[in-house]
Amino acid sequence: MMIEGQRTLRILKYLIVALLAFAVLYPILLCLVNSLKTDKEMYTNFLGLPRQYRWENYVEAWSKGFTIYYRNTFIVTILSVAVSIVGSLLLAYVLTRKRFKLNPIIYTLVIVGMTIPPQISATPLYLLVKDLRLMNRYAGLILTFVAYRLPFTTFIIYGCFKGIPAQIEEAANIDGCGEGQLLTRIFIPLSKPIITAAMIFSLVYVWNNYFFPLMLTTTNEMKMIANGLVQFQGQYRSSYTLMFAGSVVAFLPLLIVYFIAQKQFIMGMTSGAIKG
Amino acid sequence: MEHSTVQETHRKEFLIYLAMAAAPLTVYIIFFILPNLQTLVYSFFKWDGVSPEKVFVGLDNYVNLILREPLFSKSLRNTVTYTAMLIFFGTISGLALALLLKVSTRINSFFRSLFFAPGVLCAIAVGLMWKIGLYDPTIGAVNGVLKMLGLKSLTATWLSGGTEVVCIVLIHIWTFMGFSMIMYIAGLNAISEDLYEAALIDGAGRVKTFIRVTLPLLGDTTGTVVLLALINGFTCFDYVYFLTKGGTNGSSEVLATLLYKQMFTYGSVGKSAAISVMLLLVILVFSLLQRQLSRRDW
Repeated sequence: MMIEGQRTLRILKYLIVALLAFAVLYPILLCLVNSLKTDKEMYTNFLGLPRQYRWENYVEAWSKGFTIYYRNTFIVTILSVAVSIVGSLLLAYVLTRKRFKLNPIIYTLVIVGMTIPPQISATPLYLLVKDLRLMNRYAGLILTFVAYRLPFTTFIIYGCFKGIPAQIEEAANIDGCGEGQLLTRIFIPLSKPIITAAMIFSLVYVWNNYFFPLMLTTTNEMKMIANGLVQFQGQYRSSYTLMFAGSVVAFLPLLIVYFIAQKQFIMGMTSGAIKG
Repeated sequence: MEHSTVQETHRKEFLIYLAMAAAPLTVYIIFFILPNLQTLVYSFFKWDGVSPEKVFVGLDNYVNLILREPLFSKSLRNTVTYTAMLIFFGTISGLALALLLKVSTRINSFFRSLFFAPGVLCAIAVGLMWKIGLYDPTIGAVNGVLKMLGLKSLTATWLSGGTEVVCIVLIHIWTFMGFSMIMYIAGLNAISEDLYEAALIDGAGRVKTFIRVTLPLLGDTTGTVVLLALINGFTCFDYVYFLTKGGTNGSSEVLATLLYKQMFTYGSVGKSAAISVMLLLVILVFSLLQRQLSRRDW
């Protein structure tokens, strides 16, 4: 009797969860569904499935400039993530392994940097990038992203490096291991999951970013996906289905990657906030 | 074989240290530390960012903003409303979902991924899909459903007039929920089963156990989630700027959009920086508060 009651409760619970999931995903579903209709059909049949799937909408939306936006986003994201991870590895290694008077200061700067959002330094950053003549250039965006990802990434990699016991270092030293090898052959392999997590978080952050490109790029040639979408919807607002298609073109690729690597994504994007 | 003196080894170590740390630190200092410090300095000047004249005005920017800028009080009010809602609904929804999905089964993992998905989407795409798909007065689902339920009188233009802030923060909560859920799942799973057993033995009912055992032990997690919601809420920019640009007459102006406009529309570096400093103070105060609270032994 008890078991049956629990079973019904379980089924009920999952029904509620499924309903909630549908409600939560509804906006996305709505967007997907309506991106495949013709404008006319959308007005008459908004909440229903399309009668004919107009895949051409996606081709049309993409052709309005997304090749450029994706190209820029790819370049900026890959370089920003790569450079910031390498920088963090070096910085974290130096902070854990060497005892220098500067260390606590650097460490504090890193911690403080984690909580400061970009809006705080927006104006001076804009002026700085302008003065350095890095406006509308990949380098301007990349250096900015690297600087903003460094604190968080360094922090979690530092935490990981710190956990590596001294005996391993000693054993490596006895085996004649040099500095560089210590880092590359031992520390990095032992920290792979954390490094992956940091990479994913940075990837999502840079890829979806709107604020920095907004401030630091003015030409359409240099826009990233988020800003490109703004440009797109400003120009083609007469066709709602096209706008839906544009949204899908903007979010779908990353979403697909997310569903392939869910666990890593979730771990990556929450790892810094969970202690231990 | 000659061994290097201690001094030489030290020097060698220092050079390696320098070589490794110099590059990342340089970028960090130039593009992050420096601008943040400059914000503080600029807030005491009157400057348009272009001409070489910078006039020192002391606290004038702050005073003018707080006392004489009508948009400031409006944006402050909107920001506080936004943040309060984000904190409140962000934590509750996350906790509720976490309670439902705390056990790590395959089916739960599947649902967790679904609820987390909105957080992976680009803010503009999210804003656009909500703006047209849900909030549009003619075809949007919100008005559509209201009409279907016969509540035509309740339909409205959601992204203008008085309802903007609430509608926008709803979108933000939607993307924040999944993150909050994951945090609470970790927090819930960190509570030892023994405690629940002990409570059961002591005759505590489910509600009492929840209030007296679970909630207190989620203190740290809640602290972290609240702090992040607070920081995100106070500095919210993307959704508001994209959807309403601050609205007519500041109906959805928030501190971050005001800060942006002060610089890029009105050309006032000083006022923009002053708002930034105020935001920074709020963040620092609450960050320290959260750290202190999480260190106490309750």
